[in-house]
Amino acid sequence: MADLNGRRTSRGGERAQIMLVAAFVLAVTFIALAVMLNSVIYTENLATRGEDAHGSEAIAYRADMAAGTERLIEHVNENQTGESYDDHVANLTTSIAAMDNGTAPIVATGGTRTKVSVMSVTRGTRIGQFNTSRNFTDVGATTDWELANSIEGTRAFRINITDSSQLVEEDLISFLGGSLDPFTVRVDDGTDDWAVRIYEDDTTTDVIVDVEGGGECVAGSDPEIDLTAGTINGEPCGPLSFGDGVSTPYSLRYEQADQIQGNFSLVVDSTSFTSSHYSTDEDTPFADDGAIYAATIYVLHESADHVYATDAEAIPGENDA
Amino acid sequence: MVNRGQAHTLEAVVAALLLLSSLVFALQITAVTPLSASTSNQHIENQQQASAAGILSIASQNGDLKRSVLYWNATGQRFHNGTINGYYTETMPTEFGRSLEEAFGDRGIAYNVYVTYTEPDGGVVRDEMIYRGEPSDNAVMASRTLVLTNESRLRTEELGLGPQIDSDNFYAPDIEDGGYHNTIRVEVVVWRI
Repeated sequence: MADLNGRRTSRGGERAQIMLVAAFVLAVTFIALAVMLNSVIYTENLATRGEDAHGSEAIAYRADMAAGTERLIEHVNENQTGESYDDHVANLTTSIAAMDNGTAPIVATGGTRTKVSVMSVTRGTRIGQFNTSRNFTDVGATTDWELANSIEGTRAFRINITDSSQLVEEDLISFLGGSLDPFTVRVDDGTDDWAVRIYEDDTTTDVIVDVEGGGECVAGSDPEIDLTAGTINGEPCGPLSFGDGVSTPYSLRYEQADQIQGNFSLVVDSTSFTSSHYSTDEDTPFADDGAIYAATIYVLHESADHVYATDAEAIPGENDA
Repeated sequence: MVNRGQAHTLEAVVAALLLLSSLVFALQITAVTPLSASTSNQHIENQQQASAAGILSIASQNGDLKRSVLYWNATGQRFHNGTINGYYTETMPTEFGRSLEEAFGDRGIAYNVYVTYTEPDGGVVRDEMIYRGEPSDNAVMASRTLVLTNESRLRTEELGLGPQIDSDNFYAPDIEDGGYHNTIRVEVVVWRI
């Protein structure tokens, strides 16, 4: 051990040892500090990371695939009219497989494996009329008629009024003191019923959508009314809550269907209807009972830190805004 | 005394290190919470990623995302009023572009938006939609996927409905015979500048 008392006279080398030891101590301390600081940062980093193992990505993927399936269902229903239900299901299955093949490579770039396949398909009936200058009576011009019965669900029910002047004016309406009844859509389960009446303001060309016992919304002339989404021209209408208080199965009917002019379309979860109301011509009311009402898909989203497998229901037009 | 100067200096340094080490030790034994001070900017990254994911969710829900993806000028082979390279360098004149600009534009945060799609041979292509430069190391990414069918229609400059998309008039080719067209993944990359 070096003599720390400094009695030696050789001034150059007397503290070499202590300097060396001190240098080592300093070096080790600095390294220790650096390691400690690093661990602090690392702990912070870990502590602030989400603990849900990228769950939001998987949930977003499920929603995106369900939305894609809804579009494919619409495609199959609208472009393959006249084909059988089995053909529709086969087409949908092929399209969903193609969607899976097209999507998987993109998601795989983020290190995630995905799979989409069809679990089950619900059969329904697509009803509509695409003649802008016709009223809503059936092919035999019956004004009060039933569109379908034994319905378990209705989606994408859109009425597009092309000439509001054909509607009954407010001051002529029976329940407002007049003598006429306006166009009415009625949902009835045998015990309870829900109805919406559509008529025109007596001073302006505004259209009034009046839910029986529920309140009304006012829109400009020639509105597009989405009964199942509860919107008029895309704007939410509070009282318009389709089939509120009615239990399934229910029937759906038009009353005073000669008091309105425009297009309508809807898809019902039922294949029970009177075929004499319809024709195959899309300019008059038509019904295609080979349509797809909804589909359930199996969705898998798997990466190094999570596996998410679930079923997702795709019902187009059920919750569109 | 004079010749002890060096030893005293060392002693002082060692004492200082001892104090510092005690301080670091004291800090280490307290609980680490997400609000503990550190040089890490993880909070900011998390925040930015959540904002980007939120904007994408809203746009996906109300259709803005679809409108923006289809906001394509078929004759010019670029997004409407985009630069010669096809993309935007500032913002995009759709609701989605405005949401991004409102959320990040005036807060010193830059963002890129990419569209990724599949080629018929299975290859994956990534194109820029909004490009503001090379992202930094601290960039974060949020994405949504959008399935296009053959019924999807291009949007005009005024966001009206244009012709239906096909392999010729749209950047993403039709990769299948049936109703399915392609899947577009919209990626928003966000970083602080």
